[in-house]
Amino acid sequence: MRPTLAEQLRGLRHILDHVVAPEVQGDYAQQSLLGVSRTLEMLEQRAGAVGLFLEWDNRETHAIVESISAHGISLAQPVDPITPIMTGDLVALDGENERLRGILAAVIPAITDRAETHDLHAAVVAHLRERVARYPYASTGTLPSR
Amino acid sequence: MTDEAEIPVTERLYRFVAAQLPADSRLELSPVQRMSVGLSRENWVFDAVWLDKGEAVEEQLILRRDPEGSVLSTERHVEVAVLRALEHTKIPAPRVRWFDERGTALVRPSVVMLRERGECEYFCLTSDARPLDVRVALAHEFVDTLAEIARVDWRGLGLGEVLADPGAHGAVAALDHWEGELRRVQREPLPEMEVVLAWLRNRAPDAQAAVLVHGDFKPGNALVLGDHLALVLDWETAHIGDPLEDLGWITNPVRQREHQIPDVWERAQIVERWSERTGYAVDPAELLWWNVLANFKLAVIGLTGVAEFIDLHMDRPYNAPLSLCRIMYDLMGV
Repeated sequence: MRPTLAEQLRGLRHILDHVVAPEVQGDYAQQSLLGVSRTLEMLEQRAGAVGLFLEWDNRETHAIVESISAHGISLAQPVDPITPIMTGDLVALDGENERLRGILAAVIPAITDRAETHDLHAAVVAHLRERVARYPYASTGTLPSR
Repeated sequence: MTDEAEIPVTERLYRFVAAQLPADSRLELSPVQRMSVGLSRENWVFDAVWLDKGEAVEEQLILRRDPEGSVLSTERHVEVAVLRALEHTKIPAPRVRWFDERGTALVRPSVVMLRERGECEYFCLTSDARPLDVRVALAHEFVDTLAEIARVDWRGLGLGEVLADPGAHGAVAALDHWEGELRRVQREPLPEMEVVLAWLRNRAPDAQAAVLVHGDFKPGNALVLGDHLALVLDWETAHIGDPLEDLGWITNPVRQREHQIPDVWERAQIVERWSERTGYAVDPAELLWWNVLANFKLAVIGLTGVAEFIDLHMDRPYNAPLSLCRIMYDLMGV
């Protein structure tokens, strides 16, 4: 399929940078446009990784909440999804990601600062650190960091 | 006939300023320019000239207006009350000229302040623009001013009428506030943040006192004139809280490029001078708690930007500030 998603994003950025930007007046509008252009560049490079990222995170988060449940800690809802997720269905993958992360988020107070759940907590943190490292999107701020 | 909603800010501002002056003032405004700096308020700079009893008056002014979408949700009347109270202290704070509390004239709540001289220099302490000894002296001025803020007699200034006093529970109050903001703006479950929240909740320290807290003290929220600190800006998150809160904010490792000078002016020196100037002891574990809270707050501010971006209220793209979670986990030792 041409133009690909990345090619379309690159083309849009080219138009903004070379056609629109030179005509834009005002510091505020220029900075806003720069932020848009940088974000399009980030998406061009990273959007293709979102599906694989969600599949990986759903698999790992599912395993973690199952292991928490296996320790007798009750979860807000069953771990298994009602319907199977088709590979490549980003909307369904995103929905499942939100569901699983909701289960994990709700159970965290119950595994924090307890000797008997120390390993579970460490496993959760290790996964979340890895998830942050693999997270496909990035901030594209145009101002000095806060 | 012009639709009232479409009146440009320039015209609204003229009407608003003119309404504050006597009828025969012959007010003139310079072109009003929106600045790109600032993420939480719209900043419009302009000059005004008018006649006062026949004498020409000229003032350089700045309009700070609540934007449609902001990374911070704060109350303008509280900020204005703090600024007006600080006029009676040695703290160099902006002077309020006029206040449109409900946005009756300027669409959204707005404050017109005197525009003071000086430059906003995010990295004035680390930049080579000044010699080392000058930068160290400037760093001392920043910390001494922060200490002075903690020593403000906020009760005597009447700030107890607009700011809640958490007593010894400044940490819990701050955590409650920022958890409330998180719940308000989060658009998805965030187990990363829940890990931090549970850690903070289980360790919230008691405070030695309740003091005035600036809430976002940094060179990027100050004006430097020559080699001296001239003005402390952005009081919108000022509140009464734990003395260690502002110290935790400026010793946050994430912000060390703004607040520290390598090998000369680092965490230990900042803490020592601040403690000496305020008279408050600094427990390392408590300060660490406030460092983590500082990053939690930064993350919530970033998530507010995400929510406003999703709702089409933000002029800049935002993404989840998840990398801050790794920094917080390192600080927490988990």
